[in-house]
Amino acid sequence: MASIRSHSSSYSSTHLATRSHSILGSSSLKRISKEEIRLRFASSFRMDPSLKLKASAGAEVLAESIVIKEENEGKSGNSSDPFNGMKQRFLCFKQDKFLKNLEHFEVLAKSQTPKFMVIACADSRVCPSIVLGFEPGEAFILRNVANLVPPCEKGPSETNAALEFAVNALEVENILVIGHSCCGGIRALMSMEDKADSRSFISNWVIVGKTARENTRAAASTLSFDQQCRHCEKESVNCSLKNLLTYPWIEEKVAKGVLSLHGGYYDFIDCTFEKWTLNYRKDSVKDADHRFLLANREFWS
Amino acid sequence: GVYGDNEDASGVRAKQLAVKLSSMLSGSIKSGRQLQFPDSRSRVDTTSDMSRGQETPAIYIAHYHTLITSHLFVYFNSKNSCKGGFTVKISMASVNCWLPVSSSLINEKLVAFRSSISASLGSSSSFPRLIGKKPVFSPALRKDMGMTSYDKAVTSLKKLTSEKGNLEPLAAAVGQVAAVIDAEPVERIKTGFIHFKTEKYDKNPALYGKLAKGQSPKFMVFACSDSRVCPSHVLDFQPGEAFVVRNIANMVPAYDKIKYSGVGSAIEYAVLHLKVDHQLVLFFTVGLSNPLTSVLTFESVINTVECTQVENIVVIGHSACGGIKGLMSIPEDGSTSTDFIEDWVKIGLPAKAKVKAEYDSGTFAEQCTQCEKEAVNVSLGNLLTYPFVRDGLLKKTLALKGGYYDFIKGSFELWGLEFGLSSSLSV
Repeated sequence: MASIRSHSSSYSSTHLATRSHSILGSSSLKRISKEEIRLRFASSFRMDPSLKLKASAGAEVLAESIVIKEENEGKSGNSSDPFNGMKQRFLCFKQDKFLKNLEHFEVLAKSQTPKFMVIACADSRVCPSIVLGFEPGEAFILRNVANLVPPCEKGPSETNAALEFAVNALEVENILVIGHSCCGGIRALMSMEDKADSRSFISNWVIVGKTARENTRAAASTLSFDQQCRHCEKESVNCSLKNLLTYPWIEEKVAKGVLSLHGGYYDFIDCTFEKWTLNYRKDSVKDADHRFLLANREFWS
Repeated sequence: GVYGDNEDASGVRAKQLAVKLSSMLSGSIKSGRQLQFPDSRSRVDTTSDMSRGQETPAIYIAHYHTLITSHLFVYFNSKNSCKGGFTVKISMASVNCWLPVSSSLINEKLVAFRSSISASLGSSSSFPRLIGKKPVFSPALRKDMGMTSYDKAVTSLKKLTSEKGNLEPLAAAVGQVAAVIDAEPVERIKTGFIHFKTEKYDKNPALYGKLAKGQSPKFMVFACSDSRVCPSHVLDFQPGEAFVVRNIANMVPAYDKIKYSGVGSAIEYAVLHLKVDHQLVLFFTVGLSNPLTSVLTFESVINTVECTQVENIVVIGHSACGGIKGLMSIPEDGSTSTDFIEDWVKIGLPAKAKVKAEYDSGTFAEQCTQCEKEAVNVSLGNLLTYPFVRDGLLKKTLALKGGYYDFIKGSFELWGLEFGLSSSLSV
């Protein structure tokens, strides 16, 4: 497969066009003229024979799509269909929530001061706003595959950029890492080889949870694979919490008592939620593990 | 003293104010009048005598309602933790509540915050919220919650106020409530979860039973981590509908297995890892020779393989994005002041370049708004660097969309990205 390089300063195109630019919900519905984006890939891309084959196979259909389309909302109902669903969803939100709490949203529009930062999985079933009832403005939420937090030494990533923003700029008081049942990412972690499979993105990412897998294998080797996965899901939350403390600005705030770290586990088979707090003692003379204590365990069902 | 142990200047002031307000309020109680609140102007007057001092107590005057009645809660807090306050039972009709005010912020942050009182307590979703930089009360009191410690403290307060005794025992009770309020965050998520379980999970066993076995979201959404733009709220996604990735400034970086494995793995998982198109067809064809087994094979495939047919990838930007503002603020020489944030938002540099070129004369705020939208386009373009995304686009099984949620105006823009390859010309 041709390798794609994206240039940081300029980019040019095959034909990419934005079409059917529609504004929903604003008082004056106006047409915005389409913007043309030009993105050009490395020329080797065009040479790739397999792509050419596909192109020629559906030549008419594809040739059509190159042309920059004008907005034709009036002409055929079909063109606005892909957007109709999202439009209804947004208008629903606007009716039921936004307009009914206008002052609240006006305050929010000026600034956000959430008390929580939540790290949750991208899984469609575990949105923290739904499961834990967070309203707009309450929680700064990062979602990635398997709710993993890489340690500081792994270098920059979207997870630690979000952490830095939440802890240093927004000054949240609580970080909550939520694991969940039947996590595909954890399952992939438990199933994969010891070394990351270089062909796959997923293995390159979930390898961050390697310690959790080792701990699980040590503690639960006699259990079935499903039970081990479940154990790993919780273990990974704890490893992520410990990884949080590898960031100096987080450790400082936790030691001062202005930031609390919590773990959570949402089981959507039984609909239960477990939560606990990580207590951290900086000056413990014992070994590393004794600095951490899991406390305030609660189980809601 | 009544309001705490420290007799410092701010404590004295707080006490004076407490006395002033309490006489005002208790006067109303005694006369049985409907309680009238000072309007915002007179509130300024009340607190302005503190504005000249160095140590300025903050005053929180909050309103909350329980299932039974509505309370006014006046709470004082000075820097030396001289705390005190009292509650007054009032009728629902005459309520104002406003944000904590500390003198230096008096002019900027003075907001008369009229709560949206839900007259029939049947509407569980709206209750007053106070959001500000100082401690806030967010009493998330919902139906059938059971007696938490918060409830108990409130009940005892109610009793005390109805007795109209002197304010001393009130102060003690207030201290107790304050302590409970400090433990609010955990209570908050607990009530949130119980509400979800009773109002949603238990009421839709068919849906949640199906979800427990697998997920098949049709949408993959990239949204910002900003607390105000959760796609479940803004686009009303229900559990199981959208695979959601949230990061700073809703960025999708270009294909890079080492540096950007986080985002890459999410896209791979959603688009490729669980897709079953081909497998289903294969099984079905193989089973055709024996009609009976073909049916059985087909069934077993559906049951064992998770079917995720993500049809739309949507990248949603939003107004007042801190990440984009950070991107626009990176100095020309490229020097950074954060460990990770700027490194991440640099993904959007092409958008910044375009905005600076085309909107040179605009204000910084206008440029940020344009950049918020352009960055979505950069992310959409970056999505094309993932072979499995391009594949899906060519086969028309996948569509890319960009969105922009403006929570200042309350509007949502939506646009699509077309991608195609022209037929090749042979010469």
